[in-house]
Amino acid sequence: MSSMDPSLITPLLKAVAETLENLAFLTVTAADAKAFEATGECLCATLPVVNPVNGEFQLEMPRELLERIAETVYFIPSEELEDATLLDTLCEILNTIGGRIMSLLLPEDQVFNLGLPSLHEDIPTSMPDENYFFEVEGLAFSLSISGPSLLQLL
Amino acid sequence: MKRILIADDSQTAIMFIRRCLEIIGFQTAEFIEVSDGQEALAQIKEQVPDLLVTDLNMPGMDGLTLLKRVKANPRLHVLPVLIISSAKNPAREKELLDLGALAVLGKPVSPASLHHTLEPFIS
Repeated sequence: MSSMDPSLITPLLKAVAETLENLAFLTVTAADAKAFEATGECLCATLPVVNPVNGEFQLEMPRELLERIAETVYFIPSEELEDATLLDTLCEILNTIGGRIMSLLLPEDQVFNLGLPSLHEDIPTSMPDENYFFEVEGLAFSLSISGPSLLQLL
Repeated sequence: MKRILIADDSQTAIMFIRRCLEIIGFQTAEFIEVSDGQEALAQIKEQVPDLLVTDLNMPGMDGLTLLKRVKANPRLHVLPVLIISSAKNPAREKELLDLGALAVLGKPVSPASLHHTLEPFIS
């Protein structure tokens, strides 16, 4: 999918927007694949969903946007940020977004479990099942979702 | 001075929680930061903090086990334990409150939600 299914805009955008607004006071809007294709160097992390459904979230975010977020969280200029800090920031953003999405999609009485986020030095070439695109101040990023039982929730 | 122990495997999460706590009135607190439940227990053994803030999903000992271990210890069971987790929902919240957690907040946490929860601890 290269653009947002209107029925999914609300929960996915809500989860992504709440996360970045709280972490770094950034305003998120929906974007399209074209905007993401024009994005520069990206870092990639994945987050498994292990209960009550199986699947995976994948977040690809431009380094420049991660630097802005990490600058706000750590209160240090981007030139002093180490790669490890940017990668930890990416994993925490994905962990938070994944949790918010699951809590928005599942019934209130349904407990869910996430695995631990992990980094991908090489961005996977096989496209996950569903891709959604967002933008912050001209910097586009993608959130992908894969796994049949996880996708059934959407 | 308040002593606050924060357990989370993400340094970003720790920094963010710490900033929020400083904003709501804990700017003079001593913060101890650890990356899993086992390290948290070791710190608590050394000196019991005034507040334990923990994530749930951590490698090694997770936050649920840490909460159970703290609440099972007669010397520690009054220690307030605040859970901040991305996997929060009403069912999970009830389970953790029944185990003795002070409160359960979902990520992304905000200074406002922390202030609401921790107001009695802010001097």
